[in-house]
Amino acid sequence: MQKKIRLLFIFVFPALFLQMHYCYNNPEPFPAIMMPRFGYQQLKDNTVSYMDVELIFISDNGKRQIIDRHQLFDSMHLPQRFFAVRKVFSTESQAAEDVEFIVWLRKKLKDLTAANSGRLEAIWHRIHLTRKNGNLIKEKEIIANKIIKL
Amino acid sequence: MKTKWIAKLDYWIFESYNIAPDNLALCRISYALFNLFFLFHFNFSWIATYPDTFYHAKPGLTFFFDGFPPAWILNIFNIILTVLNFFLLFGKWTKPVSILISLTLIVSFSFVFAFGNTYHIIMWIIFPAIMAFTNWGAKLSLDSFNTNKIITTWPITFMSILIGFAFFTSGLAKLLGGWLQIGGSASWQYFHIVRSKIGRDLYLSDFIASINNAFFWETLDWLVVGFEVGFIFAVFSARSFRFFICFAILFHFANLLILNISFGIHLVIFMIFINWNMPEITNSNSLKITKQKIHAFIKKHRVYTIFFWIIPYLILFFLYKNHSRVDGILPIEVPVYTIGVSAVIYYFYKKIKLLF
Repeated sequence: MQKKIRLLFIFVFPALFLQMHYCYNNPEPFPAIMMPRFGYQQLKDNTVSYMDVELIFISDNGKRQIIDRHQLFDSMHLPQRFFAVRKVFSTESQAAEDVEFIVWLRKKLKDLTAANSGRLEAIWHRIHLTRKNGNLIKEKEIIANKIIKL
Repeated sequence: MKTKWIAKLDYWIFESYNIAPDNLALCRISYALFNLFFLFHFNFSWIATYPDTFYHAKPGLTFFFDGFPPAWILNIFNIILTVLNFFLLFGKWTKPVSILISLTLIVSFSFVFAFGNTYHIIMWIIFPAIMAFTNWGAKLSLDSFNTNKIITTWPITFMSILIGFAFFTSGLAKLLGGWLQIGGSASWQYFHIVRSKIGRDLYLSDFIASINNAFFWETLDWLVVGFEVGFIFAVFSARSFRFFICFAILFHFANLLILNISFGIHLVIFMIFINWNMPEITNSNSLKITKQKIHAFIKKHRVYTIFFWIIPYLILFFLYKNHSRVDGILPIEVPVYTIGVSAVIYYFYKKIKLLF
């Protein structure tokens, strides 16, 4: 038994490094429980940094109301909410053509805003963060816009 | 006959991470209590309320399905997890139960991760399966009445490799991302992105945001990379690793105050590296309560004092779980973590004092 445990310890290091090498050199998806994940590699830029922020609005009879993603995905685990917004409201997403999704969205929005119809608008902003003389400067730029008819 | 290096390897694997059986039992109880109290977090039935539009299978179990399972299956997972955690709490059939908890969590979380994001809970998921081999049901358990009380510590060494490696990969990504370049600051960027985008601006966030000293921010970059990359080297010495664990707790505590990131579950995992037991104190027949006796009592029962911060945490979490949360953080967590972190600092203060 002791020999087997010793072998386990000897092989665990190459196995972990091999996995790391694989993750670092290949795009996702990796197996769902695999660590490490380099998807969030933080690059250092000396001058500027940016972040993409998505704002979701519902327009009903000319009234425009912002939707909080935490309310829209309230039952979902927190880390998944940002991902869910990106997945279904991105410009590449085909979710708007999915009947099941539209039914779910309509029901959810009705609970949240009492809006029956209208359209949902997702606006993607890119916020540039610049540091000048020690002060933080934020510049907002609209990079994409998606409309889903309800 | 063992060669010298095999003897060294054996010492590192089987003996270096020694821990008292009481401590192991406390880790088991804490883990089970956390699971039971956090079961709202581990309630998987919410998955079924979302349409399959959200389903993005990754390599693994979810590849064999087209969408999320129905609510009744997820409810079965919830029930199984609850029952298994009660068994773990009271230490009945500890080894198979621990492995089953890991397996059930792996299956359940596969569907959570099918939403697209895999997050840092893997250590929590595999923790009981690894600890099952320590015989962590040897004390404070129903098993202790009829099974052996010998514990093995190689799984703790194994856990140290996984933790060290997880920190290392995080540090390596930063290192390769250029965090050590002079000029600008990645910590500054990351801090402001988290603050502006997610709105994490509680506790010390405003104060830190007001710091405009470039040297401060550059030093942070170097410290974070050095600490995270260095973790993998600390694995080979139990003493160094315990110091790194102490820093990890302080590091996460700072993250809680500055970036508002919760780290409750990791605190329980880190506990297995801290041997809270102190030498036994000689009993005295005198009934007179003296200062020495109080000290002796605290020393003797230090292992149980850990409950003084675990139980309040769980009770407060239970009471406050339905209150508004700011990105997963409860305001009440701060004072409770402060007590936990103080306990760790006190422990290390004692250890350092012994060294000199």
